[in-house]
Amino acid sequence: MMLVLLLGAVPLDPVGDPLPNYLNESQAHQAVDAMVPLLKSCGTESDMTVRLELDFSGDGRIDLHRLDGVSGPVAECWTAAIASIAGPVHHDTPQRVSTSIYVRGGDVLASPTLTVGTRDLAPLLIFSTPQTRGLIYSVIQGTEAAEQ
Amino acid sequence: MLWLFAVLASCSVHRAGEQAVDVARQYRVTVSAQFGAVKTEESVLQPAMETRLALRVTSTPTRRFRDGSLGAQLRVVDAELTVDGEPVPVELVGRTAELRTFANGEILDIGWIDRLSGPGRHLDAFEVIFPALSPAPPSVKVGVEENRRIIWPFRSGRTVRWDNAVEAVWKNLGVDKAQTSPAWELTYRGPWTLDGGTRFVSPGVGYTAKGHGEGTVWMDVKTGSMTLHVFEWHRTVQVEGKVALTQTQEFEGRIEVIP
Repeated sequence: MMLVLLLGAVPLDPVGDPLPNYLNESQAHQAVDAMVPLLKSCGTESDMTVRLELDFSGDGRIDLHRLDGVSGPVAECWTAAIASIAGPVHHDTPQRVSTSIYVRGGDVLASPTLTVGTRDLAPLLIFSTPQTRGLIYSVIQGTEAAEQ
Repeated sequence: MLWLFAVLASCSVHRAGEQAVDVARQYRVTVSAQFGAVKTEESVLQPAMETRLALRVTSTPTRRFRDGSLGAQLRVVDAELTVDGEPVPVELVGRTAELRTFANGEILDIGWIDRLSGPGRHLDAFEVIFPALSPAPPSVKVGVEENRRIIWPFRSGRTVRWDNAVEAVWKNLGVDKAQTSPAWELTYRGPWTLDGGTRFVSPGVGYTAKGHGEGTVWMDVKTGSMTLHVFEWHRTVQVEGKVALTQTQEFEGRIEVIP
């Protein structure tokens, strides 16, 4: 039993893991965490919950797509703070990242929950065009195209 | 104490694989593909079409793995796709995959191939490009034939996997001095099979194909690296979920190193 527990503690060999070419949640978290001190300097007088949608470009640029829950000069300060952060370089089209920032009791906190909106496309082996793709997938899956 | 050593030893591989091992290369890839109609037993879902894919691809060494295999990052620099003569958008430029091969070029894995596949990207259907970039001919005397399989896997996360194999018979035609620099000219031909499927998803989907591959590879006499590869491969694929679909695929291509 002890031996099984000890073997369980041995990390898996990660040497074959893919290189981090594409944006992942950990990288996005790091970038959002880097924003927090700058956002704090924008003011923390009132508690608020701010919904953020950010576009992470492959060259490391982060563009603000949506900022809900803050307005006026504070919003301008947040926009500038977000634009000043360099994100991770990756090899994909701009990736939409959604998260929340909380201002509570004079402090700024990034939500532990974050979503990377990767467009995950199922390989098919069959060459298909945009016009017929939905039909082909629906026939394979046995569903109506609208259910895809 | 022994378990502590085991834990520390396995941690050491975290930094083992980041050694550059070769030189960067750039390839011009052109593939004309005729895709037959997508059919079920009862109906035609998509008509036949003629396509042409032109890519410029860089290959940059990334790391040496513990088993001695090598990693190279393939990046699509330019991409153009035409369907029935009309240009169509293709989302490949800037995307990368990592080709993991043995030193002789035999493919072990293609990391991130799923990011180059599916609708608008298409390298699942055009996967022949990967073995064409790394065909791994055997060392064989002039005029002699030798068997060596051309194999490569296609994986998308843990849910999709299929494996390709061409049971190739290779023949060395000797040194071709008509090339820019003298190169061994090797031909190959053999039956092409594919088998695989999905895991952990419902309904499950099975992928199979049968066909044939043949081509000629020129390997630089001095460097031993591929300088040119012309090929004609064809297969009939079947994708079987709730219903089975088939499509014939004929590829005629050329891979050349750009100086």
